[in-house]
Amino acid sequence: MIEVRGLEKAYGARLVVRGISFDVKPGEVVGLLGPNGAGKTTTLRVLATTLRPTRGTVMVAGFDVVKDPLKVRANVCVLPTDPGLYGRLTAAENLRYFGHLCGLGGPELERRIDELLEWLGLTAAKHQRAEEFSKGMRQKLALARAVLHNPPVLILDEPTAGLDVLASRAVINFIRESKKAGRSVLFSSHYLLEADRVCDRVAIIVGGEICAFGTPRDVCAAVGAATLEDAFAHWVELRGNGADRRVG
Amino acid sequence: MELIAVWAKVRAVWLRELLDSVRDKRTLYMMVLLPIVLMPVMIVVGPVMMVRQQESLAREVPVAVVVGAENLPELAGWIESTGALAVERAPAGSDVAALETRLSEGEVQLVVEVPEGAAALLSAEQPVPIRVISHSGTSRSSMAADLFQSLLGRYGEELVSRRLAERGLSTELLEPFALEARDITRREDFGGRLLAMMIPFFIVVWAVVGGMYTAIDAGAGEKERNSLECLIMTPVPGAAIVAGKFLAVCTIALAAVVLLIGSASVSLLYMLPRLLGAQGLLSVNLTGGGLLAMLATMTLFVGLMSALQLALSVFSKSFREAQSYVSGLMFAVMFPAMYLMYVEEIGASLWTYAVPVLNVLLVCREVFMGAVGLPEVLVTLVSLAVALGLAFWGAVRAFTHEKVLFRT
Repeated sequence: MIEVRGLEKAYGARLVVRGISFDVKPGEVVGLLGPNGAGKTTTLRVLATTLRPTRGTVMVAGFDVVKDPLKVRANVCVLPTDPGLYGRLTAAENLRYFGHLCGLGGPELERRIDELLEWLGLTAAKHQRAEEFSKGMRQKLALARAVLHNPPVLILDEPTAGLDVLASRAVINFIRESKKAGRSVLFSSHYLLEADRVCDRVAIIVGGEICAFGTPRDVCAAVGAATLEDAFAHWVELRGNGADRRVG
Repeated sequence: MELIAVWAKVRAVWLRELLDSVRDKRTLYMMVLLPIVLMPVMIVVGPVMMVRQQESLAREVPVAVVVGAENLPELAGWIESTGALAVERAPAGSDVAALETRLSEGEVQLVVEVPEGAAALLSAEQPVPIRVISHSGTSRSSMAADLFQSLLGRYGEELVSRRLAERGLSTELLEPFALEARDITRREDFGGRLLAMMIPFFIVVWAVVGGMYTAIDAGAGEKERNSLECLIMTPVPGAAIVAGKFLAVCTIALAAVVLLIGSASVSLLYMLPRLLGAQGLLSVNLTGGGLLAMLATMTLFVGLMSALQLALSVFSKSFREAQSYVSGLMFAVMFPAMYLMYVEEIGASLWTYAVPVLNVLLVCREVFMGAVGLPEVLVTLVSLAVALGLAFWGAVRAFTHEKVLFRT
């Protein structure tokens, strides 16, 4: 569902992503883990077609991000770090707007809006302006907006950052349900414990390069670490020593 | 089919932007409150206050101190008899500096000095030097000075008539010409000229101001609240998103311009004459063709300004930065508009009509003055359409360029 081969992304002369390769299969959850500035968001933006790759190929849902960006967007759900909602619009209006942009409409769209709001516990806030929402409510609404058109691929950029326990749990449950539904999920996170619990495979990215890619257990075993956090720390400390090992 | 689907998305963006704009107090203020409420106040209050002040000045009789009135008692008495000026007599040799202080304090409005021997000079038919001291910094004193000069002139004419009569000559000797003047300006030309001076200025300024907040919000505003990234991740071509946003800015700006023209016209042609007690003095005679030319010119210009503002807004990193760029654009259109407001020019060279802003000002002015020509209108429309196309292309380029979108 997601295939990244030799992806490079440069901002001018500054190479931010350095020839990374990975894939996400249908029904699989892959975590992209790395410190700030490692290139996680840039990678996700290339996958979401908002940035063009400098080199390499990226296929999402069978479409090339450079040749068929509109088809990629029609098949992908992207949840950026910031929910980016329209504050002066109500929850229903926000969802209706994005539904129309995804080609949905009529009673089918209204049914889908009600269904998503109910699932995320936002039914009571349906006609409330988004500017009045708490951070957790905004993130839930952004999630509803992202999955409105029921895409087979999910790209989530730090979806639980800054959320309280309950809101965070709702997002994690959503990722698990998506996996069960056969969707491919790629998400970036700082929370290693969370990644360990949810991900089938993880990729540790440091300085724009993938240092380790495999199941959490394999990634730990490859460096003799007891936890994913130890393995992560190991790779972050080694960055710049030319180490680049792939496992799994 | 594909086109209908794209249009549905353009429409969705257009309606969302409009809904967002009408819920934004800043847009409502610029679009509705300023044109409807403040414009009439600006247009009506100034002239009405000026006329009221003139009337009040006319009611009060200014005081003139005549120093050495005893040197020519007939003059002071004659002036007094007209009732236009009150005369305060001061003996010759009075302290003029003290009188000047009273003049500057507004206690008296004029000081007139009549020299010693004035009566003898007059009898000898020699010119009598009369010194007038006024304080032109105040309206009342300058009015008193004008009034005194006019009264002195009339008194002089009376003396000359008397002298001519004594010699058995007619006063017609002094008037070799009998002037008969006729003004061919029609009543509607007064109204047309007044509107021609003000409306084009309002159109060009409000084409920027009216849609300013919608344009800034649609580009830089979306960037700032991070909704732009979510928007470009939707399966909608960039040009379609820009088209929807462009239509929204145009709608708001056009509504503001129309409201402004309406309220300015009502203020100038209806409210102002009524308040000044001159009903029916001003009227405008617009032709259907002229109106159509003005409407087309205005719409294309609003489109051009909307596309430019949108491009600047998308290019900006923040709301604040966009505000600076758009304010710059406003000044760029304001200067030629202000210049032309005070310059009477009809029949400018054809090339002038190819310059955006100038052409809008000229065409609108000529429509109100009933002097618009087809070639000038056509050059204006083609020029504006080309400029609009380029500005729209610029907005799409800015919107689909990752370096601009993620400019930090």
